[in-house]
Amino acid sequence: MLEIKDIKKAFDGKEILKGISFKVHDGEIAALIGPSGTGKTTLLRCINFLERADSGNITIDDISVDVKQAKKKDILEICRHSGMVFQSYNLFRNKTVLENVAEGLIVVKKKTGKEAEEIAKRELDKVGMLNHLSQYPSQISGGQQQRVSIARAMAMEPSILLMDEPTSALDPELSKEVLATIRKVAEQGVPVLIVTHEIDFAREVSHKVIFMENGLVVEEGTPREIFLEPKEERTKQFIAKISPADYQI
Amino acid sequence: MERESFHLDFMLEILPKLIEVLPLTIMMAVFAIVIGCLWGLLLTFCKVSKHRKIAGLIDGITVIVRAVPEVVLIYIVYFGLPELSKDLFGYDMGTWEKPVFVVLALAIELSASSSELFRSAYNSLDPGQLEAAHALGMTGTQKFMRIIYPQGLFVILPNLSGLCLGIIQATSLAYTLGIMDVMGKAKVLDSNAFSMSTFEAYLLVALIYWGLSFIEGWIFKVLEARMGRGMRTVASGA
Ligand SMILES: Nc1ncnc2c1ncn2[C@@H]1O[C@H](COP(=O)(O)OP(=O)(O)OP(=O)(O)O)[C@@H](O)[C@H]1O
Ligand SMILES: [Mg+2]
Repeated sequence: MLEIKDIKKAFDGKEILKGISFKVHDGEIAALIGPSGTGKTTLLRCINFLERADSGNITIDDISVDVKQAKKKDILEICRHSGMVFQSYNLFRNKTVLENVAEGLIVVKKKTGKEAEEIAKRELDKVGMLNHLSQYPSQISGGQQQRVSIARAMAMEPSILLMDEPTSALDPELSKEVLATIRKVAEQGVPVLIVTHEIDFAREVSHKVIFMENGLVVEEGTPREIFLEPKEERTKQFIAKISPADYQI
Repeated sequence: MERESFHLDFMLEILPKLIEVLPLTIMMAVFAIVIGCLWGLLLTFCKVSKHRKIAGLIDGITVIVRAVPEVVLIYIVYFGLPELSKDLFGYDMGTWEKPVFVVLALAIELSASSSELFRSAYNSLDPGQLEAAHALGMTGTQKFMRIIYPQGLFVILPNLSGLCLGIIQATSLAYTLGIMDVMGKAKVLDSNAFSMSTFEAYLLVALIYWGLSFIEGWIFKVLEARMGRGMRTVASGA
């Protein structure tokens, strides 16, 4: 479970996040959508303190942190209970596929090499990468790298999985395989907050869609509510712009 | 006196005596390299720190140090440091052995040049991988040990090898303080033999240093092979 309350963040005096609040419940897949430059990435990065928000509260399960007062220890706790999948995969390039997934288990979770290997193999199996254990990131495709990075995040058993446009760096074919992987992950019940431009994906997989614009949540609801019956004018315009013709209202 | 032949016998005669003092040369080099790299690392932390003033100050100092020839640095440290220590801390370095000062001087030299190298390695790091490490919940130390150090070191190994070789060679300047290292010993043995085989004496010194640099090069080759996992293909494109 993830709950954020009134998250604010300014860069160089320019307010990017103007007080964002929402909740992602257990077992829920929430899609965060909105125009470019709206602050979606910034919000995700504020949740695990890659960027430090100026104010607000972040709660992941039983860990609750006031951003202003967060200490190193709190930040580590938040990170250890959340997982992140990056747009550009960000695999450790001096480590094999297996080592990439085992790394956090060994270093952060203090598992033995054997335990870590077992868990890593299990997670890699789920993303269909069991045949590439000893390859390096530079030797596999972008889609495969992204699947490994999903396994890396999932191996840590996060209480919330954050994904920032996980398929936007991939061509459509590879994008498909990664989206299929994410669907599978979603079925395991881990709550997911995913920034995406894949409207089909958001429509079919997510339980909740959050539409954000100019640093504020404009509207949130079920995919049906947001894509087919949006209440706000801004949402209507955005949906009309991004939807393929057959979804237009 | 006219030279008639190549004095191989003289070389063979002084070889054991030079080998006897070789450990001193090696010790000076090893200590200077280890200490120099550690200091260099500290300087790099300062240089990339958010405290602009400290970063600037350290930058300035390294530029100055790098402009000073090694032999001058050795003299400054040998003659200056004890004075400074006495004046500032009331501590007498009179009992310190001469090689210690050579080690300190060369370590200072290496710290300045290696800190630049470490900084370039730091800048070459992929921020995405550090963010991934952060997201996994790694502490600063864990990030350093698992990501920054292995990847950064690999990138600079060839250059670092060159710097270390320079330090090994610079140990030959220790003779200027009258230290009986390989070079100092060769000088004495040569003059004891009335300088009749000067060429042979220094040829032998050259051969010994060649051997040292060969070993150094080999160590770095091994390191490079070990740390290069997954890195080479990336370096050459992708
Ligand atoms: N580190 C930073 N320093 C200054 N400005 C930043 C920084 N990071 C983001 N911004 C600004 O914040 C705004 C929001 O950026 P952000 O990347 O969060 O948008 P986004 O919604 O993810 O857009 P996109 O859909 O294109 O990914 C942009 O105007 C961007 O220039
Ligand atoms: Mg973004």
